[in-house]
Amino acid sequence: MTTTPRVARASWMGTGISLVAIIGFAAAAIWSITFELRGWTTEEIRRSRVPAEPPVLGGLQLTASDGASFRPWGGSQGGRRVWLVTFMYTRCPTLCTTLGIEFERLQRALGQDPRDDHVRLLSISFDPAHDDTRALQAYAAEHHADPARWIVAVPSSASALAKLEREAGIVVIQDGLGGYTHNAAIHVVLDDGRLVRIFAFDNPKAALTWARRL
Amino acid sequence: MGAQALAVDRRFPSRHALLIAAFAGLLVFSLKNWLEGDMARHMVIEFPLLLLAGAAIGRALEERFGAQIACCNQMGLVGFAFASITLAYWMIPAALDAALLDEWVAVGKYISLVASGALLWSSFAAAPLAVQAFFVGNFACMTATVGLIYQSAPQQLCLNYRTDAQSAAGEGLVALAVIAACTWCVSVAHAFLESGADA
Repeated sequence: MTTTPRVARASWMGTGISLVAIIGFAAAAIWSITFELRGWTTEEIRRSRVPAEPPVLGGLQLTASDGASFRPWGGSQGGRRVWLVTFMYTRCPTLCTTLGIEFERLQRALGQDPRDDHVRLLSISFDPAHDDTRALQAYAAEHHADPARWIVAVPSSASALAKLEREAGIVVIQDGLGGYTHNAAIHVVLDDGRLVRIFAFDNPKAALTWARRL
Repeated sequence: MGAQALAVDRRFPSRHALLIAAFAGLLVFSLKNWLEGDMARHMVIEFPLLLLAGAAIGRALEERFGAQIACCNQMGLVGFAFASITLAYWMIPAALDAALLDEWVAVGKYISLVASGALLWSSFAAAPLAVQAFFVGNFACMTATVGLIYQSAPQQLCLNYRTDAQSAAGEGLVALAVIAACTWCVSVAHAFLESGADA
């Protein structure tokens, strides 16, 4: 007579323990994927994660619009240079043009304050198939880029580009119209390659104010 | 009553179930790039296919492990809780992105959805109608709400999908919610009518 209730009790206990385990595991998984509930989208989480755990961008070889090859960070440049970096492609009719206009304004602001001497602007193209030095020059000319303050460049190899995108969390997808959609933002990168902050692309003043303090 | 609520013939041979599981699994893995290349196909076709494969595996394992599973799944609560949480998790944009960017997260997605399907098979057999109604209602409300958010969100939620694909996925999720709720209601009505005819 006592067997059935005992089995039923054990069965309910098993159900209860399983439920607690599932809820606990799910809470941990959600906590982890949302970076402690700081965001629900990858881009929100990327921007929240960077100040807390700054990723280090590896040594990067770039080809600038004047054809010169250079390494913006991770080398032995010395000093305390700070890079404000955007990712773009020159054929982009929308976001990258806006980024170009915002950088043009920043360049003007940089020229007016000696505290900004260590700050440089860097536009990196993720479309090496189309963005040769001629296309980069045209983009630089269109936005009146002064090479002393603003460099427009493309990674020297496809593998360097893929590595940079992976390290910085940049995702580029086809837009269905022959162009690309990508996460656009202003990235603050230090001389040692540390990516320390990410600002919204339409808030360049905040990026400059922050870079000025470094 | 609850055990008969779904109109699926639960007595069909387990080898047929294994064939269904193999077919659904093969479809997902052979069409992986096509399915995951679009947000709507990813969520509205691939997710149900993985659940179907899991349910078929659940049927195939029922005779051998049914008693052990039922032992820890009183009234189907564990299976429903696991499936609800799993489905909710993979509707988080960051989780969906991670499944595309990290192969281990992708493996986690496949396993969790197949396991959800297997547990759902056992849960629908064990749960009273009220528990089934709660789960189906909760799933339909959650899926439709997420679908509406996907449709109205002005910004790109997943880095791997464009906003137009996101909007289409939202429409697909709302349709999926309506189809799931209607299918369950029809199956319950069918079971009621059958039990009336038997009496």
